[in-house]
Amino acid sequence: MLANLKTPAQRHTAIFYGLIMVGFYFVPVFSDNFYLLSVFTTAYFYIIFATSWDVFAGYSHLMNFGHALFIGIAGYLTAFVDLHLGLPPLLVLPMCAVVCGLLGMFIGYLTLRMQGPYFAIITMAFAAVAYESAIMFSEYTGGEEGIPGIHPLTDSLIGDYYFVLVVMSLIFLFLLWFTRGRWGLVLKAISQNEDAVLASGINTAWVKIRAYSISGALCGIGGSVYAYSLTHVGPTSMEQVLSTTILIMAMVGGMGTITGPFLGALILVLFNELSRDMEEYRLLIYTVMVVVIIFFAPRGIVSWGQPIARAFKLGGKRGQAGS
Amino acid sequence: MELIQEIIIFGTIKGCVYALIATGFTLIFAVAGILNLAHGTFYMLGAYFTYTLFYVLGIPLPPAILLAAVLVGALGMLLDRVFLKPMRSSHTYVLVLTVAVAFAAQEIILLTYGSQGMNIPNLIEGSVNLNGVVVSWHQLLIVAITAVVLIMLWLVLTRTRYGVATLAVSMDEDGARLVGIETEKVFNLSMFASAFLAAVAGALISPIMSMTPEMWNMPLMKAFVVVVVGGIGSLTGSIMAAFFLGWLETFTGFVISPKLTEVVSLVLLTVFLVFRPSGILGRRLH
Amino acid sequence: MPLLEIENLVVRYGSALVLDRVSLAIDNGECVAVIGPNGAGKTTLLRSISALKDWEGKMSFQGRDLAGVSSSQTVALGIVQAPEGRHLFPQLSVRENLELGAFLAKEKAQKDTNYEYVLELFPRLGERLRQMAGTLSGGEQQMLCVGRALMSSPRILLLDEPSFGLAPLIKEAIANAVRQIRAKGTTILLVEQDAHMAFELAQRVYVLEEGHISTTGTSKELSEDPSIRSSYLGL
Repeated sequence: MLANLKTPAQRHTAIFYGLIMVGFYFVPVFSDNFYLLSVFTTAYFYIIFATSWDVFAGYSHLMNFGHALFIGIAGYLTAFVDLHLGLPPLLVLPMCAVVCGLLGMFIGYLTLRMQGPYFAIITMAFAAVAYESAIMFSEYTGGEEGIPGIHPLTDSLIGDYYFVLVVMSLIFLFLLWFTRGRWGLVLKAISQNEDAVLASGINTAWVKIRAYSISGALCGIGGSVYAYSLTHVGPTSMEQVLSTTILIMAMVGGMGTITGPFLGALILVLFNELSRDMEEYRLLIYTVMVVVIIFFAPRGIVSWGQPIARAFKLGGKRGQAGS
Repeated sequence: MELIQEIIIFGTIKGCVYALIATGFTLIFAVAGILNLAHGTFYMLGAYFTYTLFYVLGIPLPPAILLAAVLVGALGMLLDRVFLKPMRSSHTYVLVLTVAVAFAAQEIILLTYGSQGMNIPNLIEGSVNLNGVVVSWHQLLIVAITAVVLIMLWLVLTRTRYGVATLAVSMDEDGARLVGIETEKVFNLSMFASAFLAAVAGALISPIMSMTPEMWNMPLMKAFVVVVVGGIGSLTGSIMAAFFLGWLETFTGFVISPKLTEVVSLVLLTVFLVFRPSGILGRRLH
Repeated sequence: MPLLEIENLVVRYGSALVLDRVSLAIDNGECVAVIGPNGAGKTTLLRSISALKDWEGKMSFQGRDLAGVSSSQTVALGIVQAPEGRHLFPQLSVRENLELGAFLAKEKAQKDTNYEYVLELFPRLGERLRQMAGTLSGGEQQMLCVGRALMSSPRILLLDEPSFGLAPLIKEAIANAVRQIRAKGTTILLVEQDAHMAFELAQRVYVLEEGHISTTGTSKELSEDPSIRSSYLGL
């Protein structure tokens, strides 16, 4: 993969994220602290959610305010299949990917014509309908309590940790590959000038539907693993707050970059967990920080990467920040 | 017969609150293209500010509501000037920034007032029997105040210099600039009006519904529904849709099942967005 | 001193250079035309003067520097535009559109005089005062657009392709109105693709090609220039 990276900046970016990824695999070697591992696992889930959000919304600038829909649908599906049919996770995960992919395709088809704000509202509405339904049809969904007793992924905490990490790594690498190719380019072009792309003979509607479908499928995999990991699924898995958190993470990191949402999710989850000492002020500081970052860096913290890298170079050292 | 009366009366009261919320939401969208996800926050602040002015500073309720609404209006202008002005043309930025502001405001309210529900007293105590339906005076007052406020809004928009300028900006921003209208000023005034209306709604509802730090969610969702059903950018459409939604929800609650009340608006929203995205009326402010 | 003086105006859209060091000057009472092919930057020039578009370089009006002046302030100074695409207020009546044209006017008497002047110039608008602007025909909309601009007593009137897409008869009516406005002493900067009309109405003409002024001269000189004749007059 390194061979494809032409410029030094791209190489530095790859080294930077590569080191982070390798570091993740060594965390359990240094500590098997339950709390620490669960914090990192949470971060991996949010990385899956935020990067899968990004592949559609971040690249097309159609703000998806209901991404948690896929988490919830996959979670409930996992619970049903696990508890009633007893299928193994390795069968359930692809199943969730397919179902959420088709769901993404369907919603994408319905919402094709919609522009910015309309799209935001409709995605919010779909997730809200699913949320209300989960509460209403309590005979099947357990209502507000949800469904407990999903079988765990593995029988150890470290096993779970690696399972989630491997899934996250695969999704992250796939997304990097996918967006760095032709599709990413076309999606970006659509967000800037759809008519021009249309004029060059590309079916922009199909490109968008496909990206939305991939976004849903990958998030579905994450949602399924999430349900296994918690051994429980409930309506909170498709709450508005969760959807909003995901998109804020992506925006804080830098939309339309995949690496941005990766960093955004990682940093915000770690901040959120490590700042527990601040107790009740934690969420206030968190939200205010988010507002400030979005205000001063609307293109996300990855946009700080280049100046930092340049500064390193001016000092005669090797830069190693994302671009 | 009594059931129909009840539905009409209570649906109208609900519709009034929705109309106050949705007109402001529509106004700022039509004028500045801002889909303000912090609109529910103005509603929430209207309630909490009134509470503080009334209980802490001992100001009588009617002036407290007015003062609270003015303060919230000023905060709206501040939000527009400081946070939205630099990037107003980017929907992405506006959406994410306003939702982040809404969450931050929720945390501030939570820290200041706690999470328990609070109420302010009715403007007028007591109730009245309307042909067999018992309605509180406060609820009737909500209808009256809404009528007055909406008529005033209409007069301002059609009779005053800056009101007409506001209509002009909503129809053609470049055209408005070319006749010398300062669009920034119009955006600011619209934000004030928008926040003011939402704050009045929040203050009027809080004797009936408890105020909590999460109370901003409901009005935001209703505003979406009303605005989408009424046609994005149409004030008249929004007002019509607000009453329609009020009646429909009350009907569902009384006749079918109270559990379904909240689902009604979502179904309505989805159906309209998918099948009739332009709403009942057209696109622009009229 | 010229009324409007533009020196080395540079305008970009993103990284694309749309106007490249454009300089022109218009004296009080003159009627000057800018002609050029589609996409040469004519509309951008007018939008920059009206501060609808960010620009670099130097522009001054009556000796006053226009840097940092807002659209609203340019109107207050007397720079008024009848823009391309008309930009009327479609759901307001003809009368309301005209009244908004005088948004910054202080004196009611002046407003009334302008109103009568516009209706005299375009009697058809007078017959449609209560009609919504959006329901007017293309020609009537163009009349309203010019009329609305006249409502604020312009010192200089910027006209962006007033005859664009109109039937010959209506085109003539508009040209006639421009002649009357010119005769009243109002300075006019006319942007036109129709070079015949530009040469007929204007005393001096600038030719804008690919973002810069390629030729300039009086209408008479340019209409005898062989290259202009072949590329713009089709002769």
